[in-house]
Amino acid sequence: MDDRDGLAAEYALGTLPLPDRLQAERLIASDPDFASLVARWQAHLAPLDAEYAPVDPPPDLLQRIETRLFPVATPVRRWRLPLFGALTAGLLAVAIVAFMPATRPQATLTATLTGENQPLTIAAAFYEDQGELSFVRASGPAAAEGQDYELWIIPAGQAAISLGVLREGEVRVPVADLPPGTTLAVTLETTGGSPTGVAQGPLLVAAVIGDS
Amino acid sequence: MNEGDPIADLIFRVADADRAAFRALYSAASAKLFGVAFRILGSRSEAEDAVQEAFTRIWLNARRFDAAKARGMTWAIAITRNHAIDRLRARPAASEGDEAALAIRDPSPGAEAQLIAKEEAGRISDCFGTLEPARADAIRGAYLDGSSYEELAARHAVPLNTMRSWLRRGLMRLRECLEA
Repeated sequence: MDDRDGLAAEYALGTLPLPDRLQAERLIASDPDFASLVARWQAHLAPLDAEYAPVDPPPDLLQRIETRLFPVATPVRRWRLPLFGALTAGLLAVAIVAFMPATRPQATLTATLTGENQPLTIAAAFYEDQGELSFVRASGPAAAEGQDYELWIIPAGQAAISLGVLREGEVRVPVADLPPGTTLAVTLETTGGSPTGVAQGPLLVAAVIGDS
Repeated sequence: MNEGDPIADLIFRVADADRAAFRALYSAASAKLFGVAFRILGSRSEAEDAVQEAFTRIWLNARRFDAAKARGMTWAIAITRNHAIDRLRARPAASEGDEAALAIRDPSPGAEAQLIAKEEAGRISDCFGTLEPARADAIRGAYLDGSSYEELAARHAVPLNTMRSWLRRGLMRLRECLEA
């Protein structure tokens, strides 16, 4: 058994201390060969799963899970400036930027990303006309030193796509469409976000865009 | 393609954001997953948090499930078990929760072995029989209870590095037997 296979075996067995487990989890996410080694050990040990006796969870647990995963996103009426269309766009753009910052178009959809027992909440707003999705930390602490909050968008039935990290202030990213069933999520990653493009840290908060 | 694995079929539907399938999966798997988390964490409230996180990860990661590599329930248990062990390892050392967790564990391999009913479980049980009883017990305890090297070394009164090489050699022997 070489060191990599040993690490894979010990991860599957569960005996490693946390830093080594996190290292193994990063490897699983970034290295398919290592993930296969872990899967092989997992398959060998899985028959022991039969020894776990089922225990009924509390009756409200499903509802708590669904509330966390599928909070109802709040649709906001689209806001328009009927007059502006008739005016000269270039001149007007300057006027808005220079004198009327408060007239930024309102979001077509807002959602609050939350998690159970999680002080962090993230406010998301989708500006359909600009094709932009905005995130800002609404409550809770900043990420600790050496860590970052990483933003993810997960189109229904597809893999998560990183939208970068969220620090102080607002982050705006180009997003063309935000259909119902899309999940927005935030994980805790090392500074700069997951180096692999796949989330490696714990999921902190999430929201799924509802039908509206 | 997934004949005889209804859990895998549900996971594929969950990957397509099918909420009815998610509920059906919860109905079919939650008691087993809660049993896994409760045995490892030894606290109902922590097990509730762990199972909530596990189902969240199942919803978010269902696309990564590969029926060629694992049965559906095995995949769901691995997600739950790995998360529960991470939570256990993240606890401050020697907290009261650890004592409570140890207290509910059943250290008797005999009683556990009686619970094994499935055919493949019988095979791994045969292979465990080829190991020294103390090593088989350590591997079983590590897997089922999430015991750390430190805990196992203390329980079996051997140095930590000795425990580590015991377990590695035990795992190799187990694999040779299972792949024979």
